[in-house]
Amino acid sequence: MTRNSTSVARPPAPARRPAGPGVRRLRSLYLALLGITAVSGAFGAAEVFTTTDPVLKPLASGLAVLFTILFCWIGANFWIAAIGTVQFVRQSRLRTSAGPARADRRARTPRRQDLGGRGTAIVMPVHNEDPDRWSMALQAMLESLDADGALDDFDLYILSDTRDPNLWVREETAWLRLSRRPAFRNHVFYRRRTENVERKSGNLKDFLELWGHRYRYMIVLDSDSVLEGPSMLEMVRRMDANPNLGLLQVWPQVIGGRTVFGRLQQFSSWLYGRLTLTGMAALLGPHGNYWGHNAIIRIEAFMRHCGLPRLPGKGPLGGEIFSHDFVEAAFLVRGGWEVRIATDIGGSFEDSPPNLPQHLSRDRRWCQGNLQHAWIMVADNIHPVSRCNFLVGILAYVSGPLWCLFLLGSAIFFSADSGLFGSDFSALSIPAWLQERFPSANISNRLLLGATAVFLLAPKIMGLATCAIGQSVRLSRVAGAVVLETLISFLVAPCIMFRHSQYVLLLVLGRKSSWDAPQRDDAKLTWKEAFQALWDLELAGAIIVGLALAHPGPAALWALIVAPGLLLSVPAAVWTGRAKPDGNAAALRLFATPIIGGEGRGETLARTHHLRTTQAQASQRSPGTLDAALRDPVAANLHACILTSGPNAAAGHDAAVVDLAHRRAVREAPPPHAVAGVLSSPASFWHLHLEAVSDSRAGVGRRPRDGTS
Amino acid sequence: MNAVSSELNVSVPPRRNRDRAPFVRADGTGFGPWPLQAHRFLSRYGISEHHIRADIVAEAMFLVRQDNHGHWPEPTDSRIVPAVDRVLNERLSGYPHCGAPDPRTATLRLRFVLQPTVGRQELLLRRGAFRQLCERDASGALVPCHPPPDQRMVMHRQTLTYFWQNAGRLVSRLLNAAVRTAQRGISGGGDAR
Repeated sequence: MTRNSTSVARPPAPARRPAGPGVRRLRSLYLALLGITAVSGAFGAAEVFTTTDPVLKPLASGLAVLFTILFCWIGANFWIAAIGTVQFVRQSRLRTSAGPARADRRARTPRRQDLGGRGTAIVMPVHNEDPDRWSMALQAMLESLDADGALDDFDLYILSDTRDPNLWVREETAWLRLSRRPAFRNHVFYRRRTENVERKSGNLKDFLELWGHRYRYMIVLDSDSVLEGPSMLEMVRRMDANPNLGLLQVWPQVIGGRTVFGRLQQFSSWLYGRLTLTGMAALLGPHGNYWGHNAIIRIEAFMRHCGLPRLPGKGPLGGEIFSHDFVEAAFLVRGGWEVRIATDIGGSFEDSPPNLPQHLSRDRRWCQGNLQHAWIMVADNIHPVSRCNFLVGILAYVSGPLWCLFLLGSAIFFSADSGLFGSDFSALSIPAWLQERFPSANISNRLLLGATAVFLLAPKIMGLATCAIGQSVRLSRVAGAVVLETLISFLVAPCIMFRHSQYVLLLVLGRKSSWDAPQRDDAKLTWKEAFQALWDLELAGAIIVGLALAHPGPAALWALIVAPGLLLSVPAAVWTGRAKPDGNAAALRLFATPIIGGEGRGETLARTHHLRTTQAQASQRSPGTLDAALRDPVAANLHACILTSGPNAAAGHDAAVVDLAHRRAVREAPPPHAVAGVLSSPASFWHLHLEAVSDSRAGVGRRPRDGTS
Repeated sequence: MNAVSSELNVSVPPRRNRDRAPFVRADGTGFGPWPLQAHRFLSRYGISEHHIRADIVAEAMFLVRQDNHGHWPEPTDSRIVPAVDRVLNERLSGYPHCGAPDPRTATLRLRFVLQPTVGRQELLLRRGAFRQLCERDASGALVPCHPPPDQRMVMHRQTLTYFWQNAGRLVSRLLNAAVRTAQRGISGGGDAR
């Protein structure tokens, strides 16, 4: 198997195109609104943080700057949501007047022969994920394409980076189950890498270098993604219609939450996230962003411009790029290609973390990736809009420590400035202090407080208002859900703030985060697990309450904001992390959202759910493990042929490996790396297979194999 | 055939008692220190039917005897296994110049056959029948796990440059220019004198 290395054929890149006049006008309006927000925030902060004490003046100035930054941050999000609301209403009217056009669009979608024989590859990188979940989603997606008569134009690649031996064997079985279906024959492929070089981006790069030249477009999926067939066809059609389009990102609707936490995320993504996204799409225009999945990419452009560089510096913020998606979008824009976000294509779904600890764990990975983007943000030849995308991504995590600093600093400032340190606190009247600090006659102070509240709450009201447009939901139920969601957000926000501060601090100190697979199922979060994950937040809450009680005053007001969330973090995590059978059915019903299924009407999603339910029952009867692969001739043949025919196949018969495998995997409990070694070596695997078969024929009972069955 | 015969012609090991005994019979069965090695070798490739295995072992024995040139009275276990491998390769169109990449590919192809039935094994092991099997068998017996990765198209890493690097370059250029100017000034002054 010879593999010659050649360079990517370089097609002429399109000239860098500026945004259209409509987008430019919208950007000007947005910048003007942001400027007004910044100026008014700065003036208001200067009035609030005034002092005559020369010692406190540097602190007051710092707090004024911090407040201005944070005020701009929430103001920026508010204005994006406001623009998104207007755009959303416009699009809804257009959609209503356009009517159904599914058949028409299908007819206009280019076929493989129209694309020079180079169709579309659907790629799903997987890393230690449950094969039953993603294989069922893939089956439903392929069935959807087949129902539209378009399956011949697509090939599916499962790109595995899995290290868990049991999951590896199950992946192969899942692939076999898919590929043996007559309709999918020669359309479903499986490749596992032996080395996880550059993680997910390296996985995709390996695919592109080996097979990318066979396709014109690739649709990138995450292991929790579901895309309707008509939506994929529409994505291909749009790519074909616009030769300058390098990447089209589709909004993935968060769906399938079976815990209150998951359902909350689903609800807020549906009600508020959609508006923010619509606003972003309108503002970004052809200089959009990419979130790593549920997107279609022009392969030639991607291969030419998106080979990821190594970042300068060492430690977690340098070296290998952790979060590749934003960078690839910026590089495509730098290369002159358009990157757009399509908000009007439905039928695109993803899961969300089922509980708070999982959500925070995912945030840690994202935090490292986003902070690394600072290197790209300041690099030469990056488009200004791409720089803004990076800045927004960084601020999403840096705003946590900024809020933390602001709360701490302002508590110290107000206490010190009012002369409350060392005074008789029992005589203190909070209302009197508030009246003194924020006098009713001072309109600018009141406006500042009011604007802050509006910036935080108005997107929820705007989301509620858009529910009335063309959606079959009861407004009273949604309003109740908004109130409850706001209350829960109030509790969760301090936890997220503290955790983000911790993550940023750890990264600055040089601590890396791991690349573990996220939990996708809805396994019940126990009290013990919740306490192990969040005990430090409980401790921080107790310390804050203690300090507030010891020094009552303005600081106590600040403690009231953060302390309840921290103190209740463990109970809240357990309650919101419970799946349906354990209760919370009323809350789950309250946060139910309609499915935005697009032209596919959510049929693929329903089919996925049905298949997963069926498969879960079947898996309980016959779990696929290494043990099964060793004893079952079908699984053994399958594993051997996959192992020896891959591009990274290990060759040779290593007697030492056989000996180790024989000793450890059969007679002793082997460690995971030894099991993986057995599975990686064709010779040792066959040796073990023969031994296992001989044992079973000779009537030898099963020997215990920890971690393999 | 050449590989086997050249291997056998290189050196003749001393006779031992166990080599004298008939090891593999004409029907494919045998007895000796490792009596079922050839059969075990075949079963590992999923060939389970006795008459097919006997056929393959018989042909392998013929090959070994043909290459033996009368040095040993009976074929030994160490020679029967490569011979069986060779028979398999030939029957699976894996012999040299047959269009297949290498002999090993043929044996791997056989492993793609899952749940081998008698008919499928017979069809597969008929000499040169592999391509026919690919075309005719629509039951999903042959499953490629991915297309052949014949040519790797390298994705080059993008480069990142920063303004401070440019500033550094500018400063170094200015310094070099100043040095050159100074040198020219010194040498120019000398010329002028």
